Amino acid sequence: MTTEGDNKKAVKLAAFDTIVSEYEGMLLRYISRIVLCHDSAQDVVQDTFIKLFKNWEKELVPSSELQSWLYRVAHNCAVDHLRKETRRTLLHRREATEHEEFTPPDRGADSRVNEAAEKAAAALRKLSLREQQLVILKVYEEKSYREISEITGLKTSNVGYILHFAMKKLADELKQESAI
Amino acid sequence: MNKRSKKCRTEVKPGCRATGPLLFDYASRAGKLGKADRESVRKHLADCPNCRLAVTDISAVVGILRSASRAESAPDRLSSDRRMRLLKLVSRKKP
Repeated sequence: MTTEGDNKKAVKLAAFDTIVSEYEGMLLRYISRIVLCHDSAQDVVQDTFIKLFKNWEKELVPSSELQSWLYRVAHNCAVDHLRKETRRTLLHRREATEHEEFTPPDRGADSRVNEAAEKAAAALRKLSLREQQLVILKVYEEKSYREISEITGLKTSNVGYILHFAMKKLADELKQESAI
Repeated sequence: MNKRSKKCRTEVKPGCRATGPLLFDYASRAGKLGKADRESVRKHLADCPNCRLAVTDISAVVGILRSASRAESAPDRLSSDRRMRLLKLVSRKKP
């Protein structure tokens, strides 16, 4: 026999499953660009959906509000992931120094791309995480300033300002590298 | 800094401020700008070398970033074991 609670849970699970199917591709693409590792991106996106299930109090239906929330939470999860990875790398480095050898963590064959791509990726990685986020949302996700403002919580004018200087830094870096 | 560039920056500042937010879309996807916006950017660019340079830079950077994009190969689905783990985890939680 099913109770009202069971029914409610089944309905929420079905709605959650639909949301996962709707947004998993978008988040995997976005997070892969930040963490540069598909495996890590899968972990980050999984954590994001767990947070959604725990914390989203409104109805689980696709909406621009939900999409902005997912981008925001996924970005924060990715930043946490990168911090942990940096701590791990530093620890490896310290241990390796003690043993006089250090092999940086291999991000996998999928991170080896052509020379221009390497230069572009390297230039992008030199930006702050906030600048990277804005460039990725604008260049790849093709979001408007208003949408980026909803995702990041920044004022629209700040989005334009940060993006303008991030693009200038990228251009200067890529010119120096003779990539453009 | 020579006199000429100083003068140019002072002269175009108000126009640059108004046009600035449109430059990115103008440089990277002009088709998505409205006709009026596109026209106002075009007029401003005719008189502002700084913004012309900015458009050239944006266009080049966007081009290289897009062509260099490695995330196109990102999977568009969670792996089946992660998806199963996810559903198992949330189904244990209270609604």
